Amino acid sequence: MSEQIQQESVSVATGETLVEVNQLRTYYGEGGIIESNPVKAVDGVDFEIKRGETLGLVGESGCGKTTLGRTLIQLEDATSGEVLFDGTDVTELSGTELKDWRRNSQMVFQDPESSLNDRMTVGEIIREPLDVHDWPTIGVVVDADVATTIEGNGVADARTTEGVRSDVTVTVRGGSVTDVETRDEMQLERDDVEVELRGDDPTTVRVKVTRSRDQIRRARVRELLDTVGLRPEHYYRYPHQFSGGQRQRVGIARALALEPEFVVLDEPVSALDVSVQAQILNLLEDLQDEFGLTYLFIAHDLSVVRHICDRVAVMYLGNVMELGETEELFANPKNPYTHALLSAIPEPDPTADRERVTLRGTPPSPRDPPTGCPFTTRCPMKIRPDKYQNMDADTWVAIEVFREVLRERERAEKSLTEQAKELLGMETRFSDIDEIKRELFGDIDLSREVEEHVDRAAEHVADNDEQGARRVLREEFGSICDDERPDDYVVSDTGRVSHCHRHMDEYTEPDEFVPYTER
Amino acid sequence: MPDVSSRPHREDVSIRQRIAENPGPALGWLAGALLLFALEAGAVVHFVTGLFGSPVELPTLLSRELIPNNGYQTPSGAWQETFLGLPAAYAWALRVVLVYAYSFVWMYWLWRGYLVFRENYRYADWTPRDDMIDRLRGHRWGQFGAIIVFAFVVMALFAPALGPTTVERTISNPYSHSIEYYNDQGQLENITVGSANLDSRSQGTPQQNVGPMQYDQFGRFHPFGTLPSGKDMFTFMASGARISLFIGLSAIIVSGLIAAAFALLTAYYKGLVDLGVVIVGDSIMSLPRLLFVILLTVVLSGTWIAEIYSGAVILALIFAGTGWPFLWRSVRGPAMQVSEQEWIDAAKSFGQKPRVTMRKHMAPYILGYLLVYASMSLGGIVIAVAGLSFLGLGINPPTPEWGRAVDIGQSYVTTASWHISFIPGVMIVLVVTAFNALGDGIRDAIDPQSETGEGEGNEAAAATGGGA
Ligand code: SF4
Repeated sequence: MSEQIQQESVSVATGETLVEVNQLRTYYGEGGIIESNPVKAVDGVDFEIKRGETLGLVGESGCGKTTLGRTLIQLEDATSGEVLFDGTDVTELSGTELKDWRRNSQMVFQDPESSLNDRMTVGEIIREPLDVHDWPTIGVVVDADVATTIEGNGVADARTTEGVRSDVTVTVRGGSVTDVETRDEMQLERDDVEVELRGDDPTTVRVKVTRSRDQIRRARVRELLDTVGLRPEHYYRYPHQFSGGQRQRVGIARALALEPEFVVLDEPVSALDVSVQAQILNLLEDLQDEFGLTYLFIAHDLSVVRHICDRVAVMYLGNVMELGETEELFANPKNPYTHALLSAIPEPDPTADRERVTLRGTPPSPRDPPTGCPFTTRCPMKIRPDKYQNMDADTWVAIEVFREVLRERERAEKSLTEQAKELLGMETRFSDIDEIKRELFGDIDLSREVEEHVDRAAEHVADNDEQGARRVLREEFGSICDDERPDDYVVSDTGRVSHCHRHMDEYTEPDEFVPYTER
Repeated sequence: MPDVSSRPHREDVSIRQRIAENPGPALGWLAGALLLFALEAGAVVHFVTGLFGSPVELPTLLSRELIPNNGYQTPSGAWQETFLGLPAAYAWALRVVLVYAYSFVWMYWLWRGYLVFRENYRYADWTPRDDMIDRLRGHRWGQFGAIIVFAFVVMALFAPALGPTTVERTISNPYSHSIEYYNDQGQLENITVGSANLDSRSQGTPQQNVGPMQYDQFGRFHPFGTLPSGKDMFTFMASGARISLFIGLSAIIVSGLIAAAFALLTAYYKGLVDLGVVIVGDSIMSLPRLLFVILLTVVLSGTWIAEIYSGAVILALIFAGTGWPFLWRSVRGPAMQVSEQEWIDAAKSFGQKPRVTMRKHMAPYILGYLLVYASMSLGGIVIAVAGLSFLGLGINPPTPEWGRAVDIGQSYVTTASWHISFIPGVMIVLVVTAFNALGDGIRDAIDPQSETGEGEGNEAAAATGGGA
């Protein structure tokens, strides 16, 4: 194996962008028969992934991270926006183009039980992508001192055909073949390739591969098994005969079969035993080094992300809230949501004096996300309207909780009997507004102005007009966080971005701000 | 840096090469199979040449010519013209035993073939199928079903060889054939089968009755007795088994294919496709099935297609057309379930064609369910066809059909000729039960979690077998 080919097969020009995502949106449930709000699983995200890096994607379950990953490899159709892969917008591809592109990006799935068809042998499973793409197309490079054209069955000129690597290199000097090199992944040896020269100018180089495609594919599968730490004899075993970790290795081998550049890892270790997790993570890292892979690593386990990812994107409700280099982001989170998320994991270093922010409530429904900042309903650092700048923290939190309760009530399904009761003016579980008010504001001294608005809202609720109540509160206590989508602000020298109004000059930066719940 | 580890396996060989390398076991098996085939080759040649003109006769082991049971008894008690001079009953019994023994040896040989493949030529030392077979081996109820079904299928396949006489001789053309017997005066007399039948009728009185396992006065043996018309009932039943099996199998195969195709399509594409099939299927299912079938039989009765195989083909098509929604409903759930598996996404992610994904990644998982429900519905179709004949519809007389025997014998149930309704009735029950038992067995074999269960299995039988 010559030095030059070796380099080519693992050429990683880091720093160059492989995947670029612009204003990507993926909505579900549109265009159905019944008109309803679509689920906005991914709601306008921008980021890019550099060649050879691992980008982590973290967030609570249901934040849209898996959908985002699936959209990137075109398992879901994007609603709008673009996914540029090496400059090509893959959301526009279809038919053969899409199929050809698919070999570039693969996915390792979360559940090794479900990701392997257990009626097929491991060999058949790993081989399937090869069969689908009629692999291999053998790329030939001729290094000659005369002009040449290449000819042969299942053979393509690697210099002119896109997506074909230099699998066979033929050196021609003075009208005869002086050297033939083969690339390892192609499962070819020197004897398997016959080269013939014809004519003078241009010389036709006929390359004939004597090994059958079938044999080449099977050998490739065996090699892949070896690559992921299984034994070649496992070819004829069935998934049933393997442990979870081994099955995940099979899934990885299948993803690598077509030599993709980009692999989406969808929580690849979350279904595995802790003892096995580290092995699989190490394997993934080794493979990345060996083949120059680019990963999108989807996870909810932050310690895993910190271990394996170069950069991290933090997702909430279909939006990327903060994105930056892993260490920096973990050590010094900028976005209020990242703050909250990180403080939820136990600090490995007990002396670190990070405040523990506990998040209250649940994320809003992705069918009906807030108009302003996605985090606004739960943000412990939310910007307050000017006139309430000096309100004490307890009152503010109580008002925020009140608003959240109303939002939840509006969203909650009312059963038929409850609707009937409501119409008849009877007591329902939705009508205990006084009790709620007492519970939230009972111990708090409200200023006259605040009390007036709270009461007005409560009256609306008593009339079963939750929407009106919410409007009253929003008009009075709402701020820029409720009204405007924050921009992405660059918050560090390394280009970290955060999605929060607090990075504007007129507000206190999140990391200097003490959350209301801490006061 | 050549990868050493994968080299020893470098040359995988195809099954043909594997056999070429170690031909012993395969050749041994093949020799046995050829020998078995040779014994009956005459019948196959007869059948195939019969399709293109006049059939070629070759000596065949299990034929009525080689082991004849039609003869006559001399006044001294000796038998003439039967096999080795055996009494007609023994000659017939010998043929039956040989036919079943032969079929059984075939079954065994096929099983041996599978074992030979498994031990000598298969690369995998274990497959999920092995477990299923093991579970089926321990399933007594399923085996009971399998044995009865086997007996039924053999009866249908070998119908011409099994009967003491043939449909042609005793049912369709009795006056063109004749038999010899010693009359009361002790003389050898020639009489047409038709006339003989008139004297061997089962009419309910002890004087006019030929019961099961009895000879009539012409020395003809009737294992199941005779019909009121004097025709041999065993011959009638064997030939009826053929037609029932034909209708049942073809109806179930056609509706199974439709059901599987729709289940895969709706599970893969979901949405509107699913909705469309649900509407069509539910509309068909909401029709009262038996009435609808009767209506179709009557409406289509004058057409050319109703003439093929005495109306069996049209019946099969009608049952397939009205039956697929039931099968589809029962596999839709499993199909939906398997469509949620991540391996379907994986197949999409590397660009597998939908058609191949459905075939490779979904179909194997619904095939088992389909088999279960198909074998259970098959019993339902057998009943329904019998039910139609009972009502005087369906298969055109005089082509034998079990239901017609039940109908004919109805008025003799409490008399000496009880066998006319009773035997076919019991056989219908037995066959239907057996198909259900087999279905149970298959279900437990494919699904290790399920107990020898009631529940859904019975529901399916009720849903599909409720036709008649
Ligand atoms: S924009 Fe407002 S609500 Fe959103 S994270 Fe920043 S401070 Fe919190």
